[in-house]
Amino acid sequence: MNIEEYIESGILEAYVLGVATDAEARELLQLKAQYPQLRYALKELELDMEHIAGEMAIAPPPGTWLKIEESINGLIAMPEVAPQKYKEYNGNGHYKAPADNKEKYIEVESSTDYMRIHKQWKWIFAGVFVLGKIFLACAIYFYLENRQAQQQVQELKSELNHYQAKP
Amino acid sequence: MTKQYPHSVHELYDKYSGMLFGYIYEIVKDTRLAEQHLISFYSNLKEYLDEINADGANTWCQLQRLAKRHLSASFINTTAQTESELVTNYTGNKCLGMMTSEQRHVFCNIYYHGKTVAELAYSLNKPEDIVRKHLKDAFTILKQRA
Repeated sequence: MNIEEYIESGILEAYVLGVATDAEARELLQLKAQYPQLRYALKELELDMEHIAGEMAIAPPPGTWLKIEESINGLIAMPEVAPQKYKEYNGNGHYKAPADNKEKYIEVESSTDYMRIHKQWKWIFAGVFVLGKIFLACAIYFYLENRQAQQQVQELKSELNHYQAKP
Repeated sequence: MTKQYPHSVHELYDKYSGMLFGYIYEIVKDTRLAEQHLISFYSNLKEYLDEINADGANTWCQLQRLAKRHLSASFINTTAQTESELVTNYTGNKCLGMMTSEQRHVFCNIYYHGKTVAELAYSLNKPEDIVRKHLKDAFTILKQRA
């Protein structure tokens, strides 16, 4: 086999990218053990790929590692789920409860003082707040309008009385 | 998770996160989505540390293969892209602009979308040797450019 031709064929690239067939990969690994230049070419190609990827690199957004760390720590802190206890079948279509019957019920009441709600509620609360402000502004406006109108009525009445009093 | 390998995941992040982010971004074309995939990828990397740290294995190549597998498992579109799609999707990449349309088609579909040589040979109606040659030439261009 002409190993130079083999190196130039593109099989190495396909192998490094993980798209070579099983037969191609097997053949390449056999030849790699036989031919040092193939081993060298493969090593060089892998380094080239790393270099190329480095050229195409984009810095991840800041804080990404913290999110990863949080996610990893979350996975560590997760308690192991206890396996379900064995229950003996009593033959009547029912299972006998285990002797230790203390944890019969699952506690559903939350111990925390906080509650979690859907993010959509944020907009509903904002809408209610804005509407409240609009109603308040309208109420003040109409109150002032009404007061002014009443003052005008009083003035007109007093004027009328004044003219009526005159002979 | 980090107890057994206290520094490895962080070291891999420091050294390869930019390359992986660039690679994932080219596939998903969305910064937030790419970040989510990067977080999910590194969060589950511990399982593969033995594989990555295996003797003689190039770390970047291993990481890239794992990332490709991770994206395929996340139902990222891995269907072969047409030339017009490739031109639209990869116009920002100067290296790819230096390739012929066939070289770009072969390189992008293999490098980013994990298509096999046989699949591309069938879709292009060309022998597998020619497809491999295009791949080789594409790498030569990238190498020269890099």
